[in-house]
Amino acid sequence: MSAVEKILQFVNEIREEKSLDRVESINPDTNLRDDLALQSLDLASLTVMIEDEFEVDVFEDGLVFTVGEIIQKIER
Amino acid sequence: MTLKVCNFQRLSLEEKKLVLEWRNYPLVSINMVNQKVISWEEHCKFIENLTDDKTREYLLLYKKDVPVAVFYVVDIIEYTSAEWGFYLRPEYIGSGLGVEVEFYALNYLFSKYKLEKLNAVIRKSNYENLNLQKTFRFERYKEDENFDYLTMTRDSWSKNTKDFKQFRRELLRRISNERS
Repeated sequence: MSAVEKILQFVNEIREEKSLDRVESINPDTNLRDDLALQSLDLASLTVMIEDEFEVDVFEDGLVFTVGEIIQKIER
Repeated sequence: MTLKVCNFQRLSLEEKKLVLEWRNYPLVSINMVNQKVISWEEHCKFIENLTDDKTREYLLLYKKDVPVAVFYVVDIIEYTSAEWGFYLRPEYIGSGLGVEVEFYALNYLFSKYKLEKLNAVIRKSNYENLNLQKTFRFERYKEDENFDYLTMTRDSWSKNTKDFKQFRRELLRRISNERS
């Protein structure tokens, strides 16, 4: 499973817990808040999930707003 | 992760301008108790009046040398209680940074002022912030038409880890438990 697919899986886990519809696809330009409706606490959850999977804290040295920015940090 | 604070009384001219810009940004001001737009003169007078006022403290928070948020505490009665609040740099609203800012601020405030309880007043329309406070374990003790009045005790806060990463994991568990 690619990093994007894994992030999509995490996003959908969070969205399902919030009773939101699943998202079928994401791309580097997908905005975490505006396009995926993730709020502050959801982003904290997503950060933990990504850290467990990729051993990268995407918020460690700054902020991320898009899927592409997460991918960059994972691949750095 | 590096967070540091600068007291309002030590702000540079640029920092004062920046803070006023954030405070008057519509997404920020709409959630304040006082929603009116603050003038530069009022802002400067406000900061000046903080001098020697032991009942209030306003701080600019930096992350990695970037100013990211303001947090403040008013009605300070040392060893007893105070009321706090914060606002983010507008472009960081909804970025997830609020969780980190709140964690830092609560540690700072409970530690510095040895408070028994810390209060917060949140607009009922500010759902995201109310949800954040609930997850942090603030409890509502009063409400009126526009506001929820929340409080957290020292005992409640002291049960949390002092490590942000671990705390973030604990929050995730709380969120999962609440939603299941």
